[in-house]
This record gives sequence, structure tokens and C-alpha cells, in this order.
Amino acid sequence: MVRVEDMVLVPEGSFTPFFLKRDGTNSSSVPTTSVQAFWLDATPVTNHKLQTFVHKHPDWHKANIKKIFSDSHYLEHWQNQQGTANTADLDKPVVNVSWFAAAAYCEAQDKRLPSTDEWEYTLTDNDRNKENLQKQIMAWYSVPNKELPAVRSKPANGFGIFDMAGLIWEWTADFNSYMAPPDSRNSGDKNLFCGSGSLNASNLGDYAAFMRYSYRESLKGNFTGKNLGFRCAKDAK
Amino acid sequence: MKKIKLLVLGAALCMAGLAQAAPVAKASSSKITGQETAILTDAPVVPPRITRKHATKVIVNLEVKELEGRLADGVSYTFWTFGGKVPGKFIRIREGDEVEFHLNNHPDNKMPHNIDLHAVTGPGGGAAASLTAPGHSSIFSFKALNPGLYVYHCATAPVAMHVANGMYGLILVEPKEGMSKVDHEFYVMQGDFYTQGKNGEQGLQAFSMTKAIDEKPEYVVFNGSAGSLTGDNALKAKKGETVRLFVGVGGPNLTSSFHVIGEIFDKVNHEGSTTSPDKNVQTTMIPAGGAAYMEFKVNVPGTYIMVDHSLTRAFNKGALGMLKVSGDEDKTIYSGKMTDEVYLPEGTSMRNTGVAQAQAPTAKTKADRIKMGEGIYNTNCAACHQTTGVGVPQAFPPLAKADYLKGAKPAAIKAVTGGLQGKLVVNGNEYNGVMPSWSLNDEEVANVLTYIYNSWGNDGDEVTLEDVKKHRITPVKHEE
Repeated sequence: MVRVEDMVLVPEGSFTPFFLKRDGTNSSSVPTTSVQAFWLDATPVTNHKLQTFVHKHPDWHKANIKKIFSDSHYLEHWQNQQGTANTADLDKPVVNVSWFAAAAYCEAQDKRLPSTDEWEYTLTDNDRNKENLQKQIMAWYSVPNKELPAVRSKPANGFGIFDMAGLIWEWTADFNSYMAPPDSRNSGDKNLFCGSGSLNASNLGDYAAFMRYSYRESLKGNFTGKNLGFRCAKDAK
Repeated sequence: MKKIKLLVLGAALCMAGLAQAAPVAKASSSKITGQETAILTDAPVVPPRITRKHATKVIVNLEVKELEGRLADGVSYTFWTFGGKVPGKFIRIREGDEVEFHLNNHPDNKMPHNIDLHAVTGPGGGAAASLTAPGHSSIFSFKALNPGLYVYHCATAPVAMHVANGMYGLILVEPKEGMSKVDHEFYVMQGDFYTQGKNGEQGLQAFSMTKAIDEKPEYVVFNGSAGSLTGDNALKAKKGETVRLFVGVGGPNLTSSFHVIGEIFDKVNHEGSTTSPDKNVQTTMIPAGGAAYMEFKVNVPGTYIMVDHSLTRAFNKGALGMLKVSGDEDKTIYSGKMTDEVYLPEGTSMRNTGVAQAQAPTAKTKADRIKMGEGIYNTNCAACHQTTGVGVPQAFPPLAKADYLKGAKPAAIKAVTGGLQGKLVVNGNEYNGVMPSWSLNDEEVANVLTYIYNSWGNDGDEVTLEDVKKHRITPVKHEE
């Protein structure tokens, strides 16, 4: 695999999307979504990296951030007086960041947030370890918060990417695009509630995927969460 | 209704717009006077009866918490809860009330959650307006148009898992004319739980997606855990009092054949409907995602067992509760056992447990005893003590690794031949039940006890015929 600094080139490929887009592009019986090759951070962004960014871009310091860009929990785990990360947390994934902050960070690195398709494709790991992966994800989803470990605490997946499952939730560039199509008048059957949640799903037994999509749907760009972080991507060209 | 739908669709985008969308023409006649914050209670407690004669604005604050809790003795589970317990808080309002609902998702939670109140008229029953990320709150309002007893539940995908983890509760919308006064009101809710480990397997148990999809629960319980309504937790009333039970079924999958052993429901409001109740009902069916309430006067003191009358759920999976009624006995209503006489049908010889006595082979060796004892055990004992000897928490004591049995063959023989009643401590847990005496002959008693002593980690003693002869209690008592 190709690595540059902390990024890995994820080769082009395709995966069966959990929610089928009803725009005619995958009307065949085995719908798949193609993904172009792209660069992806090998790990989620750490407190250390975000702190470096905040140092250079004080607009994103917790004391300065504009209210429209984040809710009141922004970086609330950075508890020392300077509003910087605790030393013990430097190698842990940064959480309590809004989509706006995540996007600004990536932009400053000349990167971008991955699309939901790119992120999900990377998670599927070309189905190399499908059953185990589902179990691992379910195990993490179903227990409440504990102390976060550092990034890279577990082995990388087949693409060479770390921590896709079992560490934190991650922002994607289009986190709510599946649920809020431009024409909301037709989206009544696309909600994730009750029975209608299963209308367009490709694998009804994949509870983990349901949880991921419903989690993303519950977000707005200014939200933060104790379990919500991000990593950046970049076009392959 | 179409307009409401349009507004709801972009839930994440236009939540603020929803507050105005709920009221519709039908309810506009009831005037809202004043404002109050709803009293919410944990099962089995029910909030007080509503005595006001007008509609009001009611504020409901409900917090979602994901936390580890007890599912059965030695078994814990990560519950997702409305208010910290399973079932969720009981909400009581009045027909015509305008409810401002605050759903708060605790920041430590990992999942987004929402709420679908079956008492709400509008798409998703509030679900679309209330999808809430951890660390956030959603506010929506609705008008209580229809009186009745309704289930509420989380409806976030995968909905079956959110419900399987305990996300359900009851909301009572009292009719305008109010509800009659009774001596006791209780809140009971049944749910099915799907754990990776088998029933009784100790430790923290993870959710089993496979068992949930197959609809094969390991636990079926009232109020979130086996034993939540037994022993010291039993519901209590006095002779002559009237009891009203609000009973819901969260599911996610099983319906309940709800029954109180030894009682007849004087009135049942099926499906939670407030229209005229049915009278004199034995067992009432409550669907998953449904509720009923029932009233009865307790005339005779004693312990009344609440069950899902799909009985293996009660015997083996935990769906068992108790109502203890205190007071003096009234022999004209229930006499108790007056006499015990030998019954001899015409033309046949007397048989007792169905194990043929005369021709039964006798055991020559300890191995024989164990083998023959297994059959006797499975016929007579396994229904309560389970085929694996683990018993049922708070109802039937375990035989497996039981300190009660260790080195105490005489006590074991006396228990089988004479029965047991009253408080009993086994492996540190207290039981207070009744074991009948068994009409087994000496050979059978020796065999079944030897089987028990040589199974499930017990210490391997043999119980001989001589032991039984020496310690057995005369099996039939003719006087109370």
C-alpha cells in the first residue's frame, strides 16, 4: 500500500451501500456504489494535531469559536486554563468537535472530510473480515462511554487504515445527505423511524449500519459529541 | 394532515417549525389554562390521579440514559432507558392537555434516540421531531386528543434493538371525566430480552442480534428484570382494597397473556381504551406496543402471582410478579384446603406420579441410580428447578452447586418426601415459596437425589435406600 506521511491511498473499488439511493443509479439487482481512489488519514485526528491547528488558527480556540459553528460542548474535555488538551490525551482521538471545526481543520491541511461513501467503503474493508467486523462494531455500539484509548491501539484493517470501528464516531462531509435529500417532499419513506427505517435498506440484519446512519442523521453541523471525532481525506490526483 | 407531514420531513432542518404544527381542529374547543410540570414515576409507582377539571399545558422532561443494570441474579445488561430504569417513566396527563415534551439525550450516551408516543397524533408520534444526538435535547409539543393508556418507545433505527434494550414506557391520557378512585394503582410492563449467553449465564451479557431476529428471547420479564416484583419487591395491598394495574408490553416481539393467578379481573379496559370495560376476565391479551388496565378487589389474603400465561416465560424466563394481600381470612370466599382424602377411581389401582411402582426396575449400582434418577428429575423437578438445576431467580432455588444440599442428605430426603415451605436461603439468596411433597417410593427418591448429587457440580454423594427409609417423612398429611 502507498503511504505518504500519515495518509494511506485507498484503492478504487465498490461496496454495497447500506441505503440504496433511489436516483436510478443503482436500480440493478446487485446495487453497488463505486468509489474512486482517494487518500485517507490512517488514524482519526488526535488532540495533539487539533491543538497545533488551534494554535495557528485562534478563531477555533474554545474561547473564540463563533456560536453558529459549534454548540456549547466544543472541546469541553480540554480542561486546563489555557484551553488546551490534557497531556495525557494528546494521542487520543479528538472529540467534541463540530463539523465546521473538522472541516476547517482539514482545509488547513489542504485536505477535506471524506464523503460518507468513502468512509463506509473504507469500513467494509472489501469484506475481508465481514462477520468479525460486524461483531466488533456491535460490541462497541452497545456499551456506554468509557475512557478513550489512543489511536492505533488496535491493528489496521486491510487497507492499512486504523480505528474505523470500535473507537469513535466520525464526521463525514455529507453526514446527513442520505436522510435529507434536496426535495424533502418525497422523503417520507426515507426516515429511519420504526418500520419505514427498513424500507430502503440493503441488509436488514446489519443493525450496526442502521445505528451509524441514524447517528449521522441525528447530527447538525454545529453539534459535538463525547464520541464524535473525524479524520481527513484527499483526492488521489 | 398533509401540512404536518411536510413540516416533519426535514426534521433535522426545521425542528423549530414543528411546535406550531401539532394542534388540529378537533381539539381547538378545549381551552388551555395554566401550566405544570409532569410528575414522572418509576415502575411500579404511578403518578397521582388528575383531579383538575380543565386542560393545561404540561411540561415533560425525560432523560435518556444508557447504563448497566441487573437483568437477573448475577446477570447484568446494558439497558437503554427513558429515565434510568426499565420501563421508562410513567407519564400521566389529561385529555385535551397540551404537552411540551423535552427529550434529553445524556452526553455520555453513545446512541442517538427519539420517542414515538402512541398517544400522539402526527407522523412518527413525535419520533421525527425528536431524533436527538447524545448531549442534546429536542423539544416538541402535541395535543392529547385521544384518552387512553398508550405505550411510548424509542423509534430510532434499528428500532427493534432500541426497544429490546428497554426503551419503552406508558403514558396515560385520562379522559375528561377523570378516572375513579381506587386504593392502589401499579405500573407493570413486560419486555423480552435477547442476551448472547443463555438464561442464567452470569456476568454482563451483550445483546444478541441473531436471537432478536429469530424472536427467541432468553428473558421475558416484568419491569426490566427477573424478580423486580417478587419477594420484598412484591406489590402490596390489604384485603378489601381495590387495585388497578396499568400493564403495558414493550416487546419488542412477544405479546403477553397477562394473568393474575387466583384473581379475576373485575374490569378490563382492553387495549388501553377508556370506553366501557369488560367485566370478569381471567386472562387478557396485551400486544407488543400495547397496553391494558384492569381493576379488581382483593377479597382473600395471600400471595397472587402475576404471569404471562404463556407459561414457560413465567417458569423459565422470568415473567413472574407477586401481589401480596394482607388481612384476615374469609373462609366463605376461599376455604383453603379442608381435607385431603385418598381418591380411588373405579376399576383402576392407585397411581401417584405416573412412574409405575410395582414393575419399576431397581438400581443395582450408583451409575444405575444416576441414570434412572434423571428421568424422575425431568418428570417431577425440572419444571421448577430447570433441567440444568439452576432454578429460577427469586422463585425456585438452584440445586446446582447448592450449599443447601452439600453434606445434608437427610434434609434433602425430608424436603422431597415432606415438602418445604417458608423462608429458605440457598447460596446466599433468599427464597420464600412452597415445594410440595412428592409421592415417590424409596427407590425413586434415592435415584432422583443421587442424580441431583451427581450433576451440575454437586459433590457426588450416593443416596441409598437405607438413607431414604431412615429419613423419609410420611408423605400424606391428613390434617392441615
